Amino acid sequence: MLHVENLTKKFDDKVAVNNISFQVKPGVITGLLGPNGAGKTTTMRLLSGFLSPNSGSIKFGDLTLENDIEKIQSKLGYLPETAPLYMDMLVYEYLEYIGTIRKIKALELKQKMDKMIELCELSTHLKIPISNLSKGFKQRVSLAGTLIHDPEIIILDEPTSGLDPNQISHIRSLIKSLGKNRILILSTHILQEVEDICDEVIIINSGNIVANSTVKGLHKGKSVYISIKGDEKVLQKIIKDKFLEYEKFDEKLDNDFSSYIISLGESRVEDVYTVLKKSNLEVREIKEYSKSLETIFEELTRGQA
Amino acid sequence: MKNIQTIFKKEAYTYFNTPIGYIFASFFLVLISFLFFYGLGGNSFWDLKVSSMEQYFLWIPMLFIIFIPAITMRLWAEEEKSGTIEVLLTLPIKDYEVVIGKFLSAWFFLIFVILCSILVPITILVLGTLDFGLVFCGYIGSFFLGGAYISMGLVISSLTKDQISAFMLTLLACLLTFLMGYQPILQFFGNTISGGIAFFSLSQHFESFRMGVFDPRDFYFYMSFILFMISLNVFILRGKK
Repeated sequence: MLHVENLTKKFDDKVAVNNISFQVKPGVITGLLGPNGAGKTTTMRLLSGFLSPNSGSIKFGDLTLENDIEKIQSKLGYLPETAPLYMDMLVYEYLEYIGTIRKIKALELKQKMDKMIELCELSTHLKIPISNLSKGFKQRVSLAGTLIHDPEIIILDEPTSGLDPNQISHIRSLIKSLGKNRILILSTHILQEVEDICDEVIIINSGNIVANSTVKGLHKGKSVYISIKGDEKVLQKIIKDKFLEYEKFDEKLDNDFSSYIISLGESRVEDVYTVLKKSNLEVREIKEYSKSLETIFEELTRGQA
Repeated sequence: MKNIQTIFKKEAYTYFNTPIGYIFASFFLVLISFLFFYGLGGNSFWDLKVSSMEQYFLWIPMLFIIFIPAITMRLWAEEEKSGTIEVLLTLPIKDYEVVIGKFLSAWFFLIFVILCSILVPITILVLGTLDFGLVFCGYIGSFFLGGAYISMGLVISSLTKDQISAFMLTLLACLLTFLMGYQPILQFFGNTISGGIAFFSLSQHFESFRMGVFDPRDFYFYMSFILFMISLNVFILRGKK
């Protein structure tokens, strides 16, 4: 289990990560979301040991990053944001180099390299200088280097960046299978990716965690969609008295009906029905409303990006 | 030790597998051979007609000022620019192992290039008698002087993000440590001050080696300087975190 407690990182006076705490369980793929400059990459760099925090702690099981960095890094596979590589090396030389530093024995290294080459579909490009590879191939070589030692902890900063749709689908399935029994945390800008492969999501904005929940939990109906006809002022009064707030849904309905989204707070959908029944408003439809991840993301990070 | 070896191999591979390494090595060898045999004044080998390499080793500290920055400029600056520093420093490897591996690879390359000039003493030997002690000491001194310059270049490379800045700053630093031991400049200072300044000049400690004298004080100076620079480099890396 990964425990992050009160982690803060400052660059001069700028706070990049502000007192964040979260946990990641093995087998639960966790997505780190946030607008540009929110602190995702800094968080990942802190988790990988590339940066040291100003305060707070990072624990992987019984090991702390502060005291057992080498032990943790031997179990860690970290893919940085730009998938950096040594351009003068050939693909197989790079994998061999990473494997050797990871202290994989010669015989085992050959097997592990073969496995990675197959998994990341690199067999046709083994003897090509990395500088000559396309962005997608570079990303795959970098990923192969990250996973070559079969790490227990995997941190991937935008793993599908630069890949074509087929490769994206392939890498997503790979991440899903890897995340079944490992601590796996990934950052991405693609919200669809979070919905497809992540079990939990942490949304960061301006260095703070603004949401930490399961992906399903984020969507859960805390709102209700209604379609009614009547005086909007009456509706406004009812809603403000009983519920949190409402907003007019951008939808043209026939026969002067309008649609609204009501935030429920602690109330239930049934309560909306009871209240509307007592009013003289004509009600056509009431249903639980689930916001898309895009909407949730926008609401949580609005005006801060 | 295994990690140092792996880093050393990888870095040495880069020197021997990229044209830039060969270009600078050829440039250095051609230039030093030209300066020794033909010179810029009346002190060339053919002018003096003395079978000695003293003049050869006189040129070494000056040529190192240009040659060493070319060797060290890429060591950290390239890692920083390409982002591979993030991969390197998140591998299970200690900071000092990376620094030592990088230092040794650059030093090894320099020693290899210097040893390629072996034809010079052979030529002198064919033409006359050769003081082997002086040649041996001169070469050993060149290795240590080069090592000290490299350790300094490594530190400067870790402070910059591009190779050109690393090259220029290392060149200036090498020039400064050379001039600190240059008599025409030292004469402007008093005896006490100039003695103090000269002590920290890297080229000043090379003089005894150049004359064929192995002075342990100079040897310890170079070793201390190299160790200090390596420690400083490790300290800088940790500071970046």
